Amino acid sequence: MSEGNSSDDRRRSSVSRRRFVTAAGAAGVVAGLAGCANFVGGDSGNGADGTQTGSSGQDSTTVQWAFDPTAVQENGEDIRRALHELGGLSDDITVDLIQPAEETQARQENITRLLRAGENSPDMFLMDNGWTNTFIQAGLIENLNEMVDDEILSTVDEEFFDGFTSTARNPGSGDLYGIPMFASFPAMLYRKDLVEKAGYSPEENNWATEPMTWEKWSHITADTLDNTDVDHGWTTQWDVYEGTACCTFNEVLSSWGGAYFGGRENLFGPVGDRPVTVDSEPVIQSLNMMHRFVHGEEVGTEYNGIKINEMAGDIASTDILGWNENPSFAPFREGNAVMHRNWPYAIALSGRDPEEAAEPALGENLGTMPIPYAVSEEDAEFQGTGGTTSALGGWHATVNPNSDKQDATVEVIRAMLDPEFQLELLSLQGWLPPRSELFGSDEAQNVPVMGQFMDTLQVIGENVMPRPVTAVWPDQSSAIAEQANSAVAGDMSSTNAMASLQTTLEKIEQS
Amino acid sequence: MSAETSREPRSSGPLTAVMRWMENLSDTQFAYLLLTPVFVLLGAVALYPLLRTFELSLYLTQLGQTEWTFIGFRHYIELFTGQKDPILPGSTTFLPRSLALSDILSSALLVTIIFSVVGVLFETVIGLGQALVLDQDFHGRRWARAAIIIPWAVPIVIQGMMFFLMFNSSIGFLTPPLAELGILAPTNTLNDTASSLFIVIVADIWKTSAFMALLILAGLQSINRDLYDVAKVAGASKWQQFKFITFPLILPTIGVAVLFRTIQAMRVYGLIDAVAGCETVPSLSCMVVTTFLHRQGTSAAIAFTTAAIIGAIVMGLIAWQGEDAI
Repeated sequence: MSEGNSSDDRRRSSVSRRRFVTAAGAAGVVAGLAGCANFVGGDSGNGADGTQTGSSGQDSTTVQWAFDPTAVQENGEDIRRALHELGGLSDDITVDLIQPAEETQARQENITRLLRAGENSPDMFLMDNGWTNTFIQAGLIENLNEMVDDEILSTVDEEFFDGFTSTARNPGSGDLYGIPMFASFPAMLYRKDLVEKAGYSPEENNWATEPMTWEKWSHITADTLDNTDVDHGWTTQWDVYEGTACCTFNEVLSSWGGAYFGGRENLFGPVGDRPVTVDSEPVIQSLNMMHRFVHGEEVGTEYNGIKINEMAGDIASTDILGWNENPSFAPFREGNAVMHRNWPYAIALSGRDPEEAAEPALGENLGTMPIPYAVSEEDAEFQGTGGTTSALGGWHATVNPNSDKQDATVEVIRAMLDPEFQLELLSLQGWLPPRSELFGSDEAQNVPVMGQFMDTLQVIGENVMPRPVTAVWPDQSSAIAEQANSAVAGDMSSTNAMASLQTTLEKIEQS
Repeated sequence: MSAETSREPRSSGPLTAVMRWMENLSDTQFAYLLLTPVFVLLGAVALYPLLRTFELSLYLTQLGQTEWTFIGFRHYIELFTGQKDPILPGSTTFLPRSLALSDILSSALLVTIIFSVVGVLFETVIGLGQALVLDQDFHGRRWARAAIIIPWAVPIVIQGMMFFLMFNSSIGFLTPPLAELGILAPTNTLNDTASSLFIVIVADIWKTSAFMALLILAGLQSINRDLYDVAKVAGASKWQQFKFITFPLILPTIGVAVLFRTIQAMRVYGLIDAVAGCETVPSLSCMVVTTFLHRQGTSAAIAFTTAAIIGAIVMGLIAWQGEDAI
């Protein structure tokens, strides 16, 4: 029985093994050939070498520019047309606006991979001012001082917002690596109708252009909150996220004369060789003030003659501890808050005519002012701080050092520097021009909605604080946001939170 | 003999030699030969990335540095000695600084283990209960099965948003009652680690109990019903039937289900990211993702360590289950 089975198995096995291997081998060859078909004889794409996509003639050059995805979708054609008609770009140069990833971090990752791989296309990029400097310090983008002519360099030096332009410069040499494309800085938005109802006169007192102190502002907010039926005094952002570290907390501590790293001059380094100053008195006091605004508790401290107890408390709900931009904007946009801190997009949206807007809007009841301050520039403890301070947002145009069309990219840069082109972007996209003089121009003032707030934005643009972006900033920002959030939440005292943060930041600086 | 001699030239050559060698293999050897392409494929798609990750973990890579510098096991040493803690998001540490609750909840390793142990334990118990109910014959059993599987079908991001909104500070309706019971922090709930960890675990149990229920139900339905008839004749109570028939027979199935769920739970990332964020609820996978863009070497070291820890736990579970394992 056993032998019989064994013999039968062998016989069956010998046949099946041979057949199986033959069949598997044949199938493998066929599948392999099929798989290789694309390489052997498949379509190789566009034909030619694919490098001159869209070229229309021998003398025509196409510059590829990784731009803003929304802008390309909404106004791509108009922007291209404006470069030629308003910026004077030669018809021999075609600009191909490419849509990169929507989200800023994904965009940064993609560009990093692309440049590290030595790709020569796209020729130009639009880079967030928050991370342009990491590319500069890594040597991944073109030094424009060695590429563009003096006329372009002097225009940027003399006419553009210094604070904004500094985020496109090498902190060591001061060389320019990016041309500011558009700026963005937060303002304090308010319900004009409500404050007037509470007895204040914003226009007579020039709230739009004359920054006020936190103390005065807090009493206005509290009075208005008490005299009206809205639920929120102030809506802002204080969640554990990048926006708190780079912007809201940065603004508040700077307005007290404080700084993360000993002042404006150390924003971009040298990492490991600059002081960490988050445990200094102005930074702690700024958190105490925020704690009072949220919880209304007595804070018996005094700094530079400012008593936090004399400020109004209980004007912001604990909701701000979990809010970023859009959740904090919603109550204000619906008319349920007196004050709101946000970027210019919030002005454009809430300033629309409520009769015509699809979403809730305030129309002519919207007012704007610069962010309040505690300590003036003269009394600030750290260099370059104090006074009204707004965080700096915005984007720069940069050049791929591997591009073989650098002459053409210089011409595109020249076209985008034209004031008419920048005003067209304000009109099309609501992008704020990066040069001071344009804010006051008639055309800027006449742009629907945004035009009426250009005076405020001009003052804000002259008082911006860039985010301290270095190679270690991504590690530092999450620690800053977490400790700032815990201090204002009351999980620990401001002093303890900042002492802990001081240790962490010092370790990261040395890592 | 002469016939054999005349066939000799046709039977020689390398192909014939290979065939002859193959046909002389034992069944086991031949089975391994046939499995060779699978091993090669698995090695290419599973082992190679793991080895490349290990290689990357031996280099210093940082934003701003275009060159990689070989540093040996420094990332691992710094990870286990706490020197890497400052660059982890928020106040996260890899190992706990002490056994105080706040330090335990700051440790990515312990938070991952707490999440896995508590989550898998409750999922197993609830899944077993659901499976026992579904194994009964009742009207509408088909619909009950479909209802139980619905949470499993919800995508992680949508599930995360559901729980985020339920506990959101502005519109969440579950925070006030649970805060009154002292279970959650009344304000800033989603930035409080203990509260957020609780919410994330509940969200995971809600979703994954169905997975356990379905696996255990399959085990239950494979039990020979005659055994229960014999037990009834012998006078066994319901509890005795469960204790001596049902449970021992579904234990191997539970073991496999626990194994799969533990592997999955140890890799948790998406749910945390959607509900609370990696700064608030640090898990090992969270640490890998948050460090990857700027410090790939560190990220690779955490990833490889995570894989090693999961591997060790899985080996432990397999050893514990003995011959019943997979």
